[in-house]
Amino acid sequence: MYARECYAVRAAAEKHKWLTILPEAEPLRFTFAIGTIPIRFYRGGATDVPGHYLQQTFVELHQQQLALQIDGLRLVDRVLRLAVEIDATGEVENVILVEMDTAGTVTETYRIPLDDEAGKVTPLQLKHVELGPPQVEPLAAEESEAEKKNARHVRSK
Amino acid sequence: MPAMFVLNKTGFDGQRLQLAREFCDLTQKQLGDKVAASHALVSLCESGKRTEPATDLVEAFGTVLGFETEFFYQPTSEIFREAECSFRHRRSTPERLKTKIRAHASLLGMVLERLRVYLKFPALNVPRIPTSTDEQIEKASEQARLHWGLGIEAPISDIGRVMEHAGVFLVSHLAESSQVDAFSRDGATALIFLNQSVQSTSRWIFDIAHECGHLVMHSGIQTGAEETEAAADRFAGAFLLPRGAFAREFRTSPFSWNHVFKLKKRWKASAAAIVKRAYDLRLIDAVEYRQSFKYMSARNWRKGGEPHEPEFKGPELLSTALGSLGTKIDLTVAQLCKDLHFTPKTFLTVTGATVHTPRGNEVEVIPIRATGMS
Repeated sequence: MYARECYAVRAAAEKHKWLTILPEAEPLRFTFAIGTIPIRFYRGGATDVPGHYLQQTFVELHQQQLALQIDGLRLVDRVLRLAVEIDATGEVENVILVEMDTAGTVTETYRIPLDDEAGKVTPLQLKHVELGPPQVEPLAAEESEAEKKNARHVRSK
Repeated sequence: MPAMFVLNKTGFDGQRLQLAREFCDLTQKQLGDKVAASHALVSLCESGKRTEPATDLVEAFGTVLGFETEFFYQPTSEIFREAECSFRHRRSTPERLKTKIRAHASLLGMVLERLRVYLKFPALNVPRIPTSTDEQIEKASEQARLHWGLGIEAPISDIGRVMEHAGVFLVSHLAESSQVDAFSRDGATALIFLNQSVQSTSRWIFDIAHECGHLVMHSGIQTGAEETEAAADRFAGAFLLPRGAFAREFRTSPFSWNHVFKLKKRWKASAAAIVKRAYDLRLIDAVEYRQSFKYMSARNWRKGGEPHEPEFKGPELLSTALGSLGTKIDLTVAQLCKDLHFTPKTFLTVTGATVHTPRGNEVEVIPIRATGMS
């Protein structure tokens, strides 16, 4: 089952540029990245993370450094896991993004809406920064006099 | 009878003679030949060793160079020095062309200095951030964006306006030569010259961002070396295409020209800049990068201009200021020209603005009719 899920993620990575498989040294470890963010997944409940998924792998730490360099994302003290919850028949019931601190305490969970099409996930695109034309205004009489004096002072230096 | 003039008692200023000569792109020998003087005499006048040259000689200088005689007797507050100026394409730019552009910019500086007596321009507001590593350059570009209230996520609609709001004048008429892409001057009057003889708006946008990089990072530093130019290029890429937002959008589709041109439309950066930025951020590998540039060269996009060029608003600050003469303020263009002791032709070349003399002073020319032989 786990191998089948890994295979599905690998296949998806070939279609989607934003999804990459990270090169883990251990053959049984499987880590992927969405954008620059490293994620691992496990089967089980969102609040019941298996012990060996609490620690970050070297590849994850390296990827987090990249995320900081490229995207400016500070995830140094956060660990992300996808919890795949199954029902009694073995069917996937929920997929939940679990955010933990480095001590393994779950700090936040986000349910992934499985019914939505993947295409609906689009990056946030901010509108262009628009500036008005630069302003040039006549100086008030006294300001103008001060500028004249200033110009004379600069010249006489 | 020749027109008489009253000399300002500040004395003859050799710097102004040199400035006017360089503006006209003449050597000391060429100027000497034109005014029937030796080049040694011209040199002495320029260096200040001949403090009071003959009045007829100064008048001749003015006639040849396009200035009223009084021009050479005005005090000078600001001449653009080489150390303050950055040239894009500097190493391949002929020294004489650089000198001419610098002289032209100095004269424009005199115009702006005079206009400052009457008009309030945006104050010079450029953050100064020294850098030495790529990471520091990335951060400097982000700090500059934040300093100007642009955020670090959104494309910039008009980078020219960003610079003009920061009190940096943009000008596009200093030279018509493909041997220089852009030029900037850091000082009390900061200025970016944009060469529009190169017909590529995305390149102009990148050139402005590049010069912006020099102003932010290289204040007081001699530019033109490979390192400073590479740093300004990196700054330009980072300023136009901030790493976080750009990387996210770049990765939404596989690398293709179609995708690059969609990004170009949104970010108003050239395809070349987008490809380079993607490589800098390791979003594409070296092979993809090299193949892309080979493809762009084969299509002649790099020299002949790329397709799908973005809209570009021209410089506005100087034209707005000149446009307000005679309308918002009492000073007219003709009075300004007279105050500066430029001839109308020189004023036109320096500023791009035509001097309309009052009707009464216009010289009437009566055409000579051709008469048939009887």
